[in-house]
Amino acid sequence: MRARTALLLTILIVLLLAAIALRLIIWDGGVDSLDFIRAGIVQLFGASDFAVEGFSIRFRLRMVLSACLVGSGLAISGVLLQGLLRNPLAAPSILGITSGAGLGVVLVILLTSASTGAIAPPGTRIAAAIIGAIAALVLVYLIGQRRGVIEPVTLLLAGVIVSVICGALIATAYQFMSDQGVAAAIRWMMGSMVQDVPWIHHLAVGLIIVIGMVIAMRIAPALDVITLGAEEAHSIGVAVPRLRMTTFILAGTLAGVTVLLAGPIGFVGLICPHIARRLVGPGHRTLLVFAALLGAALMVAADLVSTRAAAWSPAGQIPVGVLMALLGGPFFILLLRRRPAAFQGGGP
Amino acid sequence: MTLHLKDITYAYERRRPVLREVTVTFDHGIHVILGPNGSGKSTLMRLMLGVMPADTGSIELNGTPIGTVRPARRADQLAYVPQRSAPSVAFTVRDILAMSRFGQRADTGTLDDIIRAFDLELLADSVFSELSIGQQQDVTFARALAQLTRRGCSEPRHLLADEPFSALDPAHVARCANRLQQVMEGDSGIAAILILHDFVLARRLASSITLLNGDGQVACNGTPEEVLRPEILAPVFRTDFMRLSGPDLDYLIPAIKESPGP
Repeated sequence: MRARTALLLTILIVLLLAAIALRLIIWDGGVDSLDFIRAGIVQLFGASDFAVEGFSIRFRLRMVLSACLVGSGLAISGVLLQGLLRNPLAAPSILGITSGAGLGVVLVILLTSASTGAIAPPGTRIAAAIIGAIAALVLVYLIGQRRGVIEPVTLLLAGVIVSVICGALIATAYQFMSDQGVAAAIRWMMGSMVQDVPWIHHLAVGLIIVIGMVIAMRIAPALDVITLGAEEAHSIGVAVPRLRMTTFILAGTLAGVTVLLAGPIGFVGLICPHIARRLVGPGHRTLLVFAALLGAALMVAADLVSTRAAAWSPAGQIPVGVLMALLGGPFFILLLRRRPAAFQGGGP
Repeated sequence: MTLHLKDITYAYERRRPVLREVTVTFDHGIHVILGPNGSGKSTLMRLMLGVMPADTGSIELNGTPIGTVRPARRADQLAYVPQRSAPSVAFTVRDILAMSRFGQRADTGTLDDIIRAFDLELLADSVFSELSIGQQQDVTFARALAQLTRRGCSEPRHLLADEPFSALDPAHVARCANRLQQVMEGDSGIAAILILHDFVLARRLASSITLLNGDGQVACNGTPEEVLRPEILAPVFRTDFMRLSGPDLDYLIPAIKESPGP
């Protein structure tokens, strides 16, 4: 590893830790008093008799963990998709993955409650998110390619259309929910950190992201080569169909499961790979590490800002997904304006 | 045994085959594929690369059907130079050359050797996409040739190139072509198969020429002297050709009326 890369990595880790530390002490009520911090430390080390009302350090840690997992899952997914599809505008939210996962989750919740009256068990929701995500991505790919050759513009348009259709289907599903459920579901669909996530979701998503990252690092050299195009990559020895399938399943799963923790969040998966590429160049091994850390840091920071901003909003809530969109929308337009060539190149 | 194609037929759309019963064998030397636009030359090359299977017929790489050769082994024996390589991200020349060792452990020493062998020291740390097209193609040839010379593979190896000189200025055409000949002289196990449009280049480089006609059939297969004749080329290209000859040269070029001048 070159010195510059090592330095950047250190800075990034420090930034991430700083964001996490800030997030732990800044909550709805502004910066916590020292009492809270002391209470937090005491709680953390098990002395449960020291309690401050309405305060749980474990809850905060879980929320921070959620944000880290969501950010890094989306960012890794974005790196994989931009590499494979040779398209700087590819991202999980743009290719319909997050809304597909959302639709999957909403459908199983609705179907289970209709048939058994209970809420869908956590495992079912995880499976539904993954299946929904991959199904949406495969659908977008099938629309966006001809004979295995990807047409970049068609692919992005297909992503937009599949996202819109999934969104519409979710809105249709709301018609069958109670008013209270709809309010929560709408907030979730705008992308906000879910507060009552079953712990098994954290565990599952964490495990999926760790395993996913390991696989991603293994296919990274092949992703480097496929940026030359499918035919050249094939001639260099990449098993292109297999790489394509692995990457799709990986990118779909990684981004899909984040929906369980935070609803569909846009733009993290688009922005982080670009910033990381600016910092450390296009090699996928380092890119994956940097994008994952950046994603986590960005998500924690955005979550922090959104809860602080919520203090001034009459509704008391500004979903972090909305904040991301405000941030990411202009960034997307910038990319679109700056890199028109992105639309001219062929896909694999 | 090298690259052997037998009765190849391929159609993108039903009942409109772009290649019909193509049978040809490529072994030592430089082979040039000529043919009008749309005669299926590039399709033939994609089939030879094993990117997609032929509808009928067989393609064997050193005796093994191309579709069953494992990717790493295939890459030892078959390399590809497109008309223009366009990485979607900002890889440096060094990164691109390192890809010739994909799937292998390559130390920086090996990479430095490749850079030196192909005289690319000055470009090594430049971003590939920021080079001129000629320099880019120079690097792509180096990448492909380095791929074929890795691992000391003893079997015949093949460089496939689809119109590799079409976008280059004369200096880079000469540089790339000379480089290719030089590597092939030093390593008799390498054969090259080039799709070209330039008869002069074909004449200078080729040891044999395969001519495809507009229907995707082999119209003629033979030495440059046998194939590059007006009576053979004219019906295939549906245009007239004129001779350009002198004491030491004898070339065919398309008959184009001379501009009347100012």
